[in-house]
Amino acid sequence: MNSMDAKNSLNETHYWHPRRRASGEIKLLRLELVVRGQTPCDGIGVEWSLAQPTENLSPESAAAALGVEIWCTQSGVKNRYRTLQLRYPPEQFSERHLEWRPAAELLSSPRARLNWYWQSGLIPHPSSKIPGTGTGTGTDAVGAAEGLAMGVLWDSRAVEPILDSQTAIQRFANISRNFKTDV
Amino acid sequence: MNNNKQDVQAAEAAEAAEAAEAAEVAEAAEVAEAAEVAEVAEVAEVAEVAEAAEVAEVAEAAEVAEAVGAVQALQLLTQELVKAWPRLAEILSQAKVFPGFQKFLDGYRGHSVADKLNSKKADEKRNAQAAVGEALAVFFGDVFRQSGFLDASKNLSTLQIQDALRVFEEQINLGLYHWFGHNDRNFQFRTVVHFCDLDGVGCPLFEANGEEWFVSFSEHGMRFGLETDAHIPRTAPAYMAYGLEEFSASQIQNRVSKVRRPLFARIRTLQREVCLLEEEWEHRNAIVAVEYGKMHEKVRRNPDAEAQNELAKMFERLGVFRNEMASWMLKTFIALERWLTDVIPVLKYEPDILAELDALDAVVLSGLQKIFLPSSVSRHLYSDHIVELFLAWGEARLLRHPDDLSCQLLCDSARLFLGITAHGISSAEFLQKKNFEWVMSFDPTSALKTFSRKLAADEHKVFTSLATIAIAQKLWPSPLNNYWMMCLASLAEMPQTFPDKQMPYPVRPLPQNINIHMAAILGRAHGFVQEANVDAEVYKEREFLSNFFAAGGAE
Repeated sequence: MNSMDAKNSLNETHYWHPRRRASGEIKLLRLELVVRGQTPCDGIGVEWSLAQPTENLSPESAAAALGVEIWCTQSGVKNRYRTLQLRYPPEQFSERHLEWRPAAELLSSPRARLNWYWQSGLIPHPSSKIPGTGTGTGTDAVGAAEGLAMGVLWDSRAVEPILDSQTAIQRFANISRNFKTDV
Repeated sequence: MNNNKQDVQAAEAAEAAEAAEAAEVAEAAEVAEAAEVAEVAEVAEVAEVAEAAEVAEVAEAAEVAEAVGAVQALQLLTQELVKAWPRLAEILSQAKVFPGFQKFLDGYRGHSVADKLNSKKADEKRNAQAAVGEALAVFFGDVFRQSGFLDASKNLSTLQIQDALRVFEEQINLGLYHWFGHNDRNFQFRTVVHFCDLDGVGCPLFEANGEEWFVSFSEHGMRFGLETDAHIPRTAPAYMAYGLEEFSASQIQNRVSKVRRPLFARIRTLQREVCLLEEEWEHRNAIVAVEYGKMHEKVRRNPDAEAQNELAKMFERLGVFRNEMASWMLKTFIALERWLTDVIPVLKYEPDILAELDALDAVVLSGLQKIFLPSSVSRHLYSDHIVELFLAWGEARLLRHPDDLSCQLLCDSARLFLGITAHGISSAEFLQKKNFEWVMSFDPTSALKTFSRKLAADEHKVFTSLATIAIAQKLWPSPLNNYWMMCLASLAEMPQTFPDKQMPYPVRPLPQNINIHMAAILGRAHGFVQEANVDAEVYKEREFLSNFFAAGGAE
């Protein structure tokens, strides 16, 4: 990644993290982008917007959109935290300084549920290697827990790939095959 | 064949008559005669009916043969498009190789941007336009030829070809709405159109019935038709792509445990698709509103007749466009409401799926409220057709939520808009109920504003008062509200209630005599007057006061 190179423009220096995965894999598992608990900026980041196209998301653009620096030094983190504390005083913005996320936000009824920004990319690709998901598991399962690994929030069968144009056209053709004479 | 059939039937009837006669030989002669007459009459009737049916059948068969030709031709086209769709996707994806496209894509926000072009860029754009246009024309030529539509179109009338092309166009635009290239949701059909400046560009397709048929491109899709047709592409309603019939009530009924997870997945897809529909609506409306706003500003600065003419024409175009978009979205919402009504009773014992369906309901509701905006906030007026769709949606929702007052208000005002006065204003019944016995699930004022355009002033006042009372009852809820309303009403009417017992206007003290009055009151308070008789008290007070005045007052 050229922007990850240490010899970069004067204004922005990104450090190349030796343990970072290649960007192609990152697109499948967005959890890698914002490592929870390692920056205090987690709780004070910007909410995700559905209007942004996400399939061509790179870590830099994610960081720019979120206003969160990742892969930077501890002093950078501290500076950031200080800025944010000044920007959001805890007395007025108590909800931004919570450390815990209420279970109600994640597990409750879909109407009241709130998905946090790091959960934007959690629909697993059909060929993903996430334990408990994939085409082999959960398809003929009789019980709920069968085919589901511990700690995995989703099941491959409870998720559909995005509605693509070929499917749309096929379904329209099927419906119109049942049209009576309307001409 | 007619004659044979009639003969056969007559023969059979005659045989039956003979058999009946033979069976009734033992009975009285009058009965036999009557039976014979009746049979003959029956036979005659049967023969007539048979003949009429035959004639009708022949006529129908002729019509059906003609109509079947058109439908078959259409189905040929439809199936061929399904087979050829990957090629179309490939043609559109090929736009990526044009110079400057990647940069355009990175900065693309869904609308065309006037670029300052040097000659080289203009050349590149023109080349791109030519390349894509040619490729698409060739593609459609192949589709029409290989499906056999060209041959079939020789037997079809202009109207039938138009209808077939309309359905074909709807299918293509539905596919284009869902298409995105290279795994990038920003790379849509409108990206290609805006990059190559294909908006409004047309290509001839084929010739039939002596007329030339064209395809023209716009950012919203493709339009097939004659050269003189309006350039507004039509899209099939989005629900046709959702596959709702795979999850109808009869499909789910006895297989709930097997169907649970796919149904869950499908409901999540529906939620996402409705959100995407709403975003599409907002995007398209924003673009046309900005165009109109620019023209409006131009006219405001320089109001001359031709500019105002242009503005009026643009407003008309905008109106037609908004009507099309509204009807497109409403048809999907109506289909989803009907599906929910269909499916929810079958899923009584599935609380998590019901929760997801509830969320889908909420998302459809929020989408519907967006459609009110152009007519409640802006000056757009929806046509009768759109209001009928609104009414259909409202009635579909009332089947599941019969206590929803905002929906009842919507239906009532929509009916009055359309001139259906038979139902009256049934939403006024909520005035007799307690405020927890009905529900206000969305803001009724946006619907009432939309439909107030064609209501009489009195009807509008009635709706305004109903909405005010409803909002007040929900905003300051108290079980005593009706009681207080009655108290206030009777208070306001008090003077007219007992007119003969009304007292004459009482004496009020002049400001300079106020201390005399205070003295009188104090005197009474201190037990100066001891009788319980009120009249005596009053007399005594007046006596005291007149003595007081006679004695020169307080000086």
